[in-house]
Amino acid sequence: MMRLLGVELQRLRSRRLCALLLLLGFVITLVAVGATVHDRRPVSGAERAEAERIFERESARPGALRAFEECLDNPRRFGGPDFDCEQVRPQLDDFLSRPQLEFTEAAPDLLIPIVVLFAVLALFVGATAIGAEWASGALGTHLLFEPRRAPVYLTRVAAVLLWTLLAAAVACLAALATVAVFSAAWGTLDIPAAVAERLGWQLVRGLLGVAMAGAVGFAIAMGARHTAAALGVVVAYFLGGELILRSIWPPGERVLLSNHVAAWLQGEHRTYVYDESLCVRRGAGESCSAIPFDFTQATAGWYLAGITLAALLGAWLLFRRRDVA
Amino acid sequence: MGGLVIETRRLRKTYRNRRGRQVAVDDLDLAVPAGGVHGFLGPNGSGKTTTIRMLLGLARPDRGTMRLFDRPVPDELQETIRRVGAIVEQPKFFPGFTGRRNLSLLAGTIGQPRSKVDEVLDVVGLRERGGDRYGGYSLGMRQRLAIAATLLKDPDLLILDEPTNGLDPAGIREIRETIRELGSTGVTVLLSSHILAEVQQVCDSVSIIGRGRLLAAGPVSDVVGRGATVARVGVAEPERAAALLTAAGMEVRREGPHLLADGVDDPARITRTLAEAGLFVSELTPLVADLETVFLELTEDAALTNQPLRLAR
Repeated sequence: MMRLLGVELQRLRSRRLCALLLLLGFVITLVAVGATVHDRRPVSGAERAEAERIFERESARPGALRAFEECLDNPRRFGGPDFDCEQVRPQLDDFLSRPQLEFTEAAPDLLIPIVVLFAVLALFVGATAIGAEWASGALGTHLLFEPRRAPVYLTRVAAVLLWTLLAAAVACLAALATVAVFSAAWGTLDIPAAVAERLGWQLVRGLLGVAMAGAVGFAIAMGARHTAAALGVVVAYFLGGELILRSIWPPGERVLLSNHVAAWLQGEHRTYVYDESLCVRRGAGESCSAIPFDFTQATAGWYLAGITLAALLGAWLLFRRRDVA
Repeated sequence: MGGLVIETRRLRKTYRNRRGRQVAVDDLDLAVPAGGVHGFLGPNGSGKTTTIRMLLGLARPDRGTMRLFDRPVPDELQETIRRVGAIVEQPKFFPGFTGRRNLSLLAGTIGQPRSKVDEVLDVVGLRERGGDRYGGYSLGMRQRLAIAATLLKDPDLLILDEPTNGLDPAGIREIRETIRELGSTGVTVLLSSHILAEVQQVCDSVSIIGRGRLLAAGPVSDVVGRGATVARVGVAEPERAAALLTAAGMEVRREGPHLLADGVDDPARITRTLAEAGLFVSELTPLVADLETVFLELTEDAALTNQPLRLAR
């Protein structure tokens, strides 16, 4: 089995499309990290001088002075007898609006998009890993050398999972490390234990999500025997299936993948549904208000794992007995 | 079972399509003896490739038994597949990989060292082009790469399904010579083809199938020998000669200035019959049936009857 797994990893490594997708993932991650760091970079001397110039100009504006004087005369009008009228005057910080780079804020914001990106790429890699083999007939040639279908199936799935997991883990950890380094240099790298734990679990869930996406892509392409068919199914589901279900049967929101994916990645997710059948009116004539649907990470995890396992099992049952051209 | 590398009994395979169930292989009893080159003949759609795919575990039979090297397959295919090199229909490799990369992945699957890849590329004359993408290979190069892949296993049995399809005459000759060489080294070769001249030139024995059933099997000379013997007769008075030969129990028809006499077991009967009537032959040529004649006879018959015919070895 280990020898076969090694061969499958080599096969994936040799696939130019997989290498390109990997490169694309790393380039986009790099851009996202760069943008995050750039948006929170320290204020330069020139920027501070420009901010001070604007601050002085705004502070000297008659309207600003008048408001400050009115506040001193009658603070009740502005918020109460103890209102701090300095708040009415322009502040230098108002013109230095760039936030400071803080790891605890920047890292979670960055992690989820990277995970989603690698989940999409994993879906593609999973689909092309087996779809292209069906299309070229190379899978049949492989079975002439290893006719046991169970090891062939398992090692091919395992290779996709390992490959996509490794790629996503490297990208996520590199992104977090980069943000940590810049946070330490420019801002604060004070990470409370609770935040670190939350971030760690988010990373684990994200990586599992990437693996599940790769497995589902593989399973659909194995069943459909074509990469394009697998991608077509996924695109049709997200662009067509969910929109149609939402419009014709709002309570179906509970089973939509996108809600469960959001809950899995974020830890929880809430969406609102407007549907007459679900309304609870307190009084006659009261209008129907939106009903909140809550999704937890536990239910989302079971739901997504169930779908992944069902897809893998279905693909195996098809492959186990299927004639190979 | 002794001495057989392939044996099938009552092998049957049907496919479902829009027109209902189509029988691809129908109670096929096939026996391929060890050693030499064995032709597996049949018209397109006769079930040759389906039979090969079932033997190699790529398709499942509806019923029947199959044995490779006296072991039941697919149950014990894992134990026997290492001894079998096969090309089914056309070579199938990943087009984006180089020839060498395609082979090294297959070699890795069976635990062969990387040096084996260069060795087999050398055998088929592809070492220089091993670094080129398979997608850019010509048909002949693809076929040669497929043969190289089969050699990775050092096989005892080589199954080649239409190996010269799409090749130019030089490529066909090259493959034919490779097959002959392999056959002479003790490897059993099962050569599936519908190119009869190719089979007659290369094969020692042959099995002919039609509509999924075995029509004839045995050494090529025996199979060819079952075709009716015809003699072309040149004589001064063909009309009179025809009447004399017909009266002697032969089937005679005219072909231009000549007569064609069917069912002649001994050509001396013709000269004797005509000489006794004062007619002397100017030409007497036995027309030996070739494999093509026999094949066409058998496969045409198969459309009418479904009787399998096994010839003595």
